[in-house]
Amino acid sequence: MIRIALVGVLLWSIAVAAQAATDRAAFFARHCTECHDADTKKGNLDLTALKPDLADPESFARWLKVHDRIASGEMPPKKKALPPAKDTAAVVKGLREALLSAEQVKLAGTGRTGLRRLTRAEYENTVRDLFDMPGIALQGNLPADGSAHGFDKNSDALDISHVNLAKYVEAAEHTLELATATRPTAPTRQYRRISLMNAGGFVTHVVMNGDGVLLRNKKADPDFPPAGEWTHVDQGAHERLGIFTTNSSTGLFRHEDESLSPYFIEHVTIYPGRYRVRTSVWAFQWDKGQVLPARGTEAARLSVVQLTGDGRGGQHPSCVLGYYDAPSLTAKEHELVTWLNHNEIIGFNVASLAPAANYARKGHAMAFTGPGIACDWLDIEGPLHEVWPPAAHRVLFGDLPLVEFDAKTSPGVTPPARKKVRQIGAGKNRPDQEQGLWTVRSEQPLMDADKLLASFLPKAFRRPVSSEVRKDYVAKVEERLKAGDSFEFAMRWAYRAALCSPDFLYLVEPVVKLDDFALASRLSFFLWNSAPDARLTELAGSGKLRDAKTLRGEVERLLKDKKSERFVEDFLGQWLKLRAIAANDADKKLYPEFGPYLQDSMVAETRAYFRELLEKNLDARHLVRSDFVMVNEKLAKHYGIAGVSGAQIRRVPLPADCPRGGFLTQGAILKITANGTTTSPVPRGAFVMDRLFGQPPEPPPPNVAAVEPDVRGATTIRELLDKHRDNATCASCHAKMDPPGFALESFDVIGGYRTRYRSIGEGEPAPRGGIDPFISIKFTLGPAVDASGALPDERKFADIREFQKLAAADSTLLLKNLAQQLAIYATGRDLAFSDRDPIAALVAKTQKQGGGVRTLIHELTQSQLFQTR
Amino acid sequence: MTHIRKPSLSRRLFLRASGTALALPFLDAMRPAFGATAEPPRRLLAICTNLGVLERHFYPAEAGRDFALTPYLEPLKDFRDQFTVFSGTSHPDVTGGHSAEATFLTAAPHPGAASFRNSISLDQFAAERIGHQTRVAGLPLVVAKSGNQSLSFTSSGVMLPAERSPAQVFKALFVAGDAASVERQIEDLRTGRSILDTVAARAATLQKQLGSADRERLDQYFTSVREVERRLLIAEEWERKPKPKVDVQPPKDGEYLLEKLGAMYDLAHLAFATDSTRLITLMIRLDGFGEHIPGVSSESHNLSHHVGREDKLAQLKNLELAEFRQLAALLGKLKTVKEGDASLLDRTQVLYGSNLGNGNNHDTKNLPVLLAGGGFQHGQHLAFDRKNNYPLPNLYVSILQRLGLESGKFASSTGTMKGLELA
Repeated sequence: MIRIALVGVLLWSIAVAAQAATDRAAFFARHCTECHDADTKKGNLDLTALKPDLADPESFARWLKVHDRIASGEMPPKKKALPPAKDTAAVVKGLREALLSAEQVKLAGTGRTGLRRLTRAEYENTVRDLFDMPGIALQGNLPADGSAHGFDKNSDALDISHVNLAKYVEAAEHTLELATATRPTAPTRQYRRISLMNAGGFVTHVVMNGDGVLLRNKKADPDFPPAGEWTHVDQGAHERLGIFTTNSSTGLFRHEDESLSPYFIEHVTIYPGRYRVRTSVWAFQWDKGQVLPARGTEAARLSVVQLTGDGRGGQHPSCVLGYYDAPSLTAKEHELVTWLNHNEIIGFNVASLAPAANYARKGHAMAFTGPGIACDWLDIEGPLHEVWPPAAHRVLFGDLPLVEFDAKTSPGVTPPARKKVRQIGAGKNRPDQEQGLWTVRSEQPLMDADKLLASFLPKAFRRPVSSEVRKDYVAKVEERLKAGDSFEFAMRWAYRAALCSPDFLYLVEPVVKLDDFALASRLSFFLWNSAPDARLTELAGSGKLRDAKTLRGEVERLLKDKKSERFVEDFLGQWLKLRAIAANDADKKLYPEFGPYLQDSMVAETRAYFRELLEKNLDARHLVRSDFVMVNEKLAKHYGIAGVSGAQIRRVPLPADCPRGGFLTQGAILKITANGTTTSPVPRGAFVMDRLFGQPPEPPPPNVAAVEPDVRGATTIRELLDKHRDNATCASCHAKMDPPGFALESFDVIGGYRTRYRSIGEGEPAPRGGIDPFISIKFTLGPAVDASGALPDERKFADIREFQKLAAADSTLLLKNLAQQLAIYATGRDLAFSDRDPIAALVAKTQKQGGGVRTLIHELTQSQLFQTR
Repeated sequence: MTHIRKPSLSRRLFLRASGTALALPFLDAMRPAFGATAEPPRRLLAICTNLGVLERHFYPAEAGRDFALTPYLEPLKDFRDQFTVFSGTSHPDVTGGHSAEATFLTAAPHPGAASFRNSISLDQFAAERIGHQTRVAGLPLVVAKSGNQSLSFTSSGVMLPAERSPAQVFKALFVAGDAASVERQIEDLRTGRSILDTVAARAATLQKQLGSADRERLDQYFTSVREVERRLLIAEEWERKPKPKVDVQPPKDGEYLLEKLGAMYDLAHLAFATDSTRLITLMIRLDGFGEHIPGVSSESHNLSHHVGREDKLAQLKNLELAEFRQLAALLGKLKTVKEGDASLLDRTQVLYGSNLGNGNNHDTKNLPVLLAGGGFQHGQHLAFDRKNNYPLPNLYVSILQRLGLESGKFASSTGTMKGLELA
């Protein structure tokens, strides 16, 4: 009986579908095929030939586009006689159902998120957290990951090859070598106060060329006067006298560059670990030998430098530790604790000063007037070990005793091999005296191996590990022991295998609904870009994590933890392409005020702004508009905002006349969307459409020449584009794509506000504006900027502020896009047609609670979308 | 297939006796490996400079053999009959501006698209077939400020990280360790293999618990593990064979563009001459460079967006000219090394080009391409339609065939390169 009814329903629905297909064909014939037939084939679409086979991905994609165009009202075009709304709705509905059911068939029984390996950032963070070695550098040695649908977390982007594998084996060995304690006591905690001025460093620049000066009691050091018309006595003489160990402060005028390296070279890290770094800095105005009050607070940069190797990127500096306030004539002390790897040193830079050089100046420092930053000293203390053996060692070997290896009592055992520890470069820190060959001892190797692996494997694999799997590892340990390995090496062998196994490298998830451990991993890789911690795993183990309230609490906890900064960094790096911030250098003639300090401040601003949206739970309109900005002094000056002093980013109310607010007008976004010399509304418009509005423009048709930018003549990019848009094929897409870019024409390639273009050569002299008086200006003022435009729906805007207002009006669009981006990032899969409803529901729920970004993250993590594969 | 080569005559001794400064082991008496019947090897060096080449200074105005040398070809005038310039060619459906750096040697379509997947590169395609004959199957190199971006991609589209340090490569190819360190190295290789054996077993168990799509993905892992194992095994065999001895100073890594580039070219020359590899790719990532190049004072990427400014165009010309001069120096070196009755250049195809036709607007059509050496009837400008480009992958098929591979197709090729005949 039931079966008959079922067959009846089926037949009925087929009949309905058939009817819908007939109606659809009639609708197309009446309203569409005039343009979209085999002859005209407008937009390269021939509806008469489009196959109804939705199982074919290509025709699915085309039908989806047909659906979207009709649903949005874009098609049929307004110029034509419009079909009755009822007919349109019926066609849209029919298409939608057909698409949904086709997709259902396709996706049935498979996990939507493909099995995937860790990204290299995830890999590094996971190792750092697992072993409590927060700065170990691994990423740089792993091959770069791909990217799919805007993010690297998609399994399509995470292929694996023999190259990855070989590198994983190396990375695992490096990690284990660093993690294993090989001495009875911690390396001696050494303390050293270092002057920037030292015999082996860049002393000649300072003493003889006058790119810096020695200072004492806030005056030129009487014993070692600044370089003047006669440059100072030769360096050798000073070294013989040993004077650079005196307590003079070093005042600097010149930036770090290819031939000037202001590094604290008397500490070169031998033992990787945490170090306490303290420095004392202040600012002054130098006037041909006189030390005067500074123009304000300057900023000094500390960085980590690795002179060789690719440790942290292989550049100088390898990584910026921060920018620190140097107030006028009053020394300020700054302290931080940071991880330093082998061979790393601390570098210094006069970040906020205009680049100045005295080496070629006649009269050197005695002829120079300008700002300087003084560094009194740098204290460095470490490695800091609260306990010994360190946490990393305990993860591997628990509480087993460390003993001196004795060949006599261990016959047939190969002594564990050790690398020799050496003093490096000009470092005055020394390695400790050799203490002999120390290693862990086990009285019952196989029992200990079992115990240690029982503790390690679940942590590394992020889920319970069956005893069979563990037994395999123990068996290998036994095999190695028989082959003559020491207990330490046999264990390290097993750990290395574990760190290269698919259980560690891959996120293994059940097919449909995530189990609790997979959920814990998804949460932590989303908000920490790393493996779950003990608490998350515990909650997963006790089955409580899925409880809505607990989950909410955990999301809060994760977001409040410092590790969530990795999420902000990783997500923005890809969503807003912050990773590309340095893809182009700004043209030095057109933008002489640009430099690393400004660039780093820009990135810090965009991150701090997103953090502020999260913390204050602000709504999605803030993506394009806000009544505050997150700036430091450098950016405030760049944006023309008065009254901000110091290097730290903070929230500042937006002055009424300031054309800023939202991501849209931030320096980082404006720089990333320009090429360093010119701006074009096209890539900028495309960026806004794609990244902020979630409406990526179609790629340009083949064989259309790109617009050739030109700053020679009086032709502006708009005039060039207008020509391009005369072509009807180009016009339809550009009408959608260009308007946001037109509004952003008010901002130059480094995000400065402009009413006229900068130009080289002809033009009126340019006013200095906020540019540092020590930077010379070679550009002139070119044509006026026109930042007006109209949206495709014909709403007009005169400038960026009006555009912001229009863009902010559609808060649902903005929120929906953010929801989509977060969903793709968090789940590691592209969104399908059938995800549209869940996303819409998520957005609606969020909006009911005020539409905040933090609320959105809660709603997302609570959703089925997040909790299923 | 593998030639087992035993040094028949101490090269160092011989060279000392003959007083040659640069010691290269390619005199016939010293090459037992190829014997009387075996033909000397054929090789490929593929170079991509990543920001385009100014076409006005590169393409000759005339097609065919009677073309006048352009400013960029002027430094190559001594090799006029040993190169061909191609205009009006590009990779079909390769768009996406700078992202096309990844596809210069793969020709995979739409590298900028969200769902882009790369495919195998020309050199790796060849390496899979002839790579086992040398110590190093293929050698991806890069000249760059940082990173290890390369032109070489595996069949699953994964980038093979390029070597940035000539000193390191030199060490790996030519500096032999003592017996103990060789043993240690072999022991390490074995440990590596046994670890991989364990994880492969685990992957096999895990695969049984997974759905079909996941099984396929894990299969990629499994294959990779087996591939590393195979490579470690080959490495172990090579580890036991003596490394070729060369009487040159190890190269310095250098800091500026031209010294880095020069060091890489020297290394390529040395690697070919000692038959350490037959396949080298070199990515020249100009971004960030600009220092210590005569007549250049700005950063390269910035210059490539010259926006028509004369000052920038002049600097850009100086930069690119410097690159061509280095190329000429390399060709000169390859030409001086004799191999049988021919020179190394006659057996080495040097492909030089860019992934951008126009750096100023990121155009990926009309790529600048030049092929030197390798045994073709060179000395011509093959000019194709600048509006409707001729497929560049056709050249790649010709290159593969010249390497001795029976390949009829590569990526989107439609045949072999029209007008390019074997010498």
